[in-house]
Amino acid sequence: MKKAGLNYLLLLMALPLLAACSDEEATAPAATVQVELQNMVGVQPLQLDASTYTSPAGDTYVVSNFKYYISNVKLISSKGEATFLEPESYHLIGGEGKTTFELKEVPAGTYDKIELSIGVDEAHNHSTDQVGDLDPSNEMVWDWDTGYKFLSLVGTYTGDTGNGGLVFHVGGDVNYKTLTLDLPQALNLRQQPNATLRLQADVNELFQNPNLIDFDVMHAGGHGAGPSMIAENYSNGFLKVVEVK
Amino acid sequence: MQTLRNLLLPFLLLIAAFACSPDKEEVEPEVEPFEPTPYELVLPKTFPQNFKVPADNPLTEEGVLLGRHLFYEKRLSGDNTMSCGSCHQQEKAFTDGRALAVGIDGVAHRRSAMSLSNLLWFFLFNWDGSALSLEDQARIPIESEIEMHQSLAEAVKELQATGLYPPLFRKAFGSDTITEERILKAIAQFERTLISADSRYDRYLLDEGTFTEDELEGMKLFMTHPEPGIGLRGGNCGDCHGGVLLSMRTFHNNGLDEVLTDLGYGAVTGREVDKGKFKAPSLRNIALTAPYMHDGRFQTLEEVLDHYNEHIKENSPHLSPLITEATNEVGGKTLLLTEEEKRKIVTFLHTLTDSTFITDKRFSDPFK
Ligand code: HEC
Ligand code: HEC
Repeated sequence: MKKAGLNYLLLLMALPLLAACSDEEATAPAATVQVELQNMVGVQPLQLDASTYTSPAGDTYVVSNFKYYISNVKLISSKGEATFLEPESYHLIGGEGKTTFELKEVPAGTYDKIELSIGVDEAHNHSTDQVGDLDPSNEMVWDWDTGYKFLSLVGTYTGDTGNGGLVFHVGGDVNYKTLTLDLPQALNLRQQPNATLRLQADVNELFQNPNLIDFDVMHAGGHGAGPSMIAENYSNGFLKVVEVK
Repeated sequence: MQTLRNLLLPFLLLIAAFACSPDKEEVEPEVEPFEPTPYELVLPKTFPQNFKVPADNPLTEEGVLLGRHLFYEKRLSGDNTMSCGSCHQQEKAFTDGRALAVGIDGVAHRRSAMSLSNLLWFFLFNWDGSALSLEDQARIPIESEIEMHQSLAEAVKELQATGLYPPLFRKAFGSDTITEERILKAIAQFERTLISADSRYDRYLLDEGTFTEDELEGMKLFMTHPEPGIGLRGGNCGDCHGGVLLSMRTFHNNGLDEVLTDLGYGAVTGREVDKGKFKAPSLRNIALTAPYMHDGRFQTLEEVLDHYNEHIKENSPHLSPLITEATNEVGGKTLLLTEEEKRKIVTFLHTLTDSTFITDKRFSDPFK
């Protein structure tokens, strides 16, 4: 015990020297940006299996499983000062998956937009590469030809004329959508080397804007026009940055 | 910079010197250095590479070899007549051919023995997901009255008294001492090596083998969620049994019963919505593992297909939406595959048989 104490003391003495060492070697300070994602329905946090929600078309529904891929995350400075593209950028969000991820080694600069895509880009969608959260054994694999499910929502609904299961599996290269979101305030990484971007996704936005989805008419789908309508919706107002901190 | 390093070095050396000098009372006479050989897993590139092995139980050649002996060790049972291998037989892809498993006392288990393969990628074990690790799982059959019916503490004593085991434990864990934890760890290590990755389906995925027209159509039907609105036909199996593991590792009610007698996952989580849900197991080697379902109620794959196509119990509590929303006809209430389509799916299921796996010497009974 005594000896451990002594070791710590020596380490403590050595630390400032080590720090001095690395300081001189570093070129430009790089920052870490935490991205936090929260799934919502309107203004309430999404609860799986526990709450009944009302869709924009007036049907009620319960969500039991909800997941989607966010990929190729970029931080952009509109002054052209800097852009940062996260390498191997594939994040599975929702369900029991993670709700935060970290952008590492972001060059110092002032950023005012974030660009990201929902889905998996064509090059990675049809390959056996397993970078980021791409995993041929997770729930998001489809078949080898179609690639990954980009977004999966499973639950139940009660409509005006019927009720039943809600199963949307959206995938296919045409439904890979890239969105650019404004940050509510610019992120100055020179002043703030450890920042957090808080994003919210609103499930109800999958069912409106521009395409109003009435569950009596459509409550399932993976290929074809229906899911593409949902994909158009998720590129419009589904995700927003609510806070920079 | 140079001067800094010069200053730093003696400091670090000093720290190292202190850190490394052993306490006198800690010195133990080392008989031989304990350096087990890491076990190398060979995986095709189509398999997920992101598996996790518990940090406190890395795979080693010596641990796996010990685990293999223990898996086939009858002394782990109360009357020395039964091993894990009795209910998990290699030639049947580690099942027993029975509807319900039967333990040493001749009493039937409420469930069917499960096939063991690619467990490395799973995180909840048993039909109801009640075991959180393979280490935890292995204790259950040993101690269960209706399975091997022996306390693990008793098993430790029996094995310690043999000539065979103390040296095997020393090689695997660094000392002759047998403990409950070491028994479970070794068994789990062996189980993690049971990888089935050489079926005709795997060779097809790797472009090393071909499928017949029927097998190909069967695979497509198997993987596709039907959408009658756009003429897309499918059997919907991939929603739960998809991916290269042939399991999404999720729990569902697949509509077997209107009245639940076994609550499955619901009894484990205590949540109403989970009642009647069971693990959607991997369908690897499924042609070898009849009878089917948690209670072995179906004898053949044809019966299984009939179940999904014609006999889903619509009023079963919390029946999966993935099933209620799957039909091949606009406005259809059931799956509505044709006889021909069902046959093709069964044909595809036969391509999941991995004869390399069931004859691999590394997985066989070392006492034979
Ligand atoms: C009497 C027959 C019997 C014996 C002996 C037996 N098992 Fe099992 N095994 C079963 C049954 C039945 C299940 C399903 C249990 C459940 O769901 O409650 C099972 C399930 C399992 C599973 C879960 C697989 C999965 O995919 O979730 C593993 C792992 C397993 N057994 C390993 C072992 C090991 C290791 C031993 C020896 C220590 C063993 N079994 C002995 C009958 C047996
Ligand atoms: C909603 C998810 C779901 C879908 C869709 C589904 N299954 Fe299953 N499957 C399960 C579950 C859960 C079990 C275990 C049920 C039990 O034993 O209670 C199972 C069990 C099985 C078994 C028995 C496995 C064994 O080891 O005994 C076979 C075979 C099978 N399914 C084949 C299929 C086929 C073929 C299809 C498509 C026609 C299909 N399944 C569609 C969830 C599903």
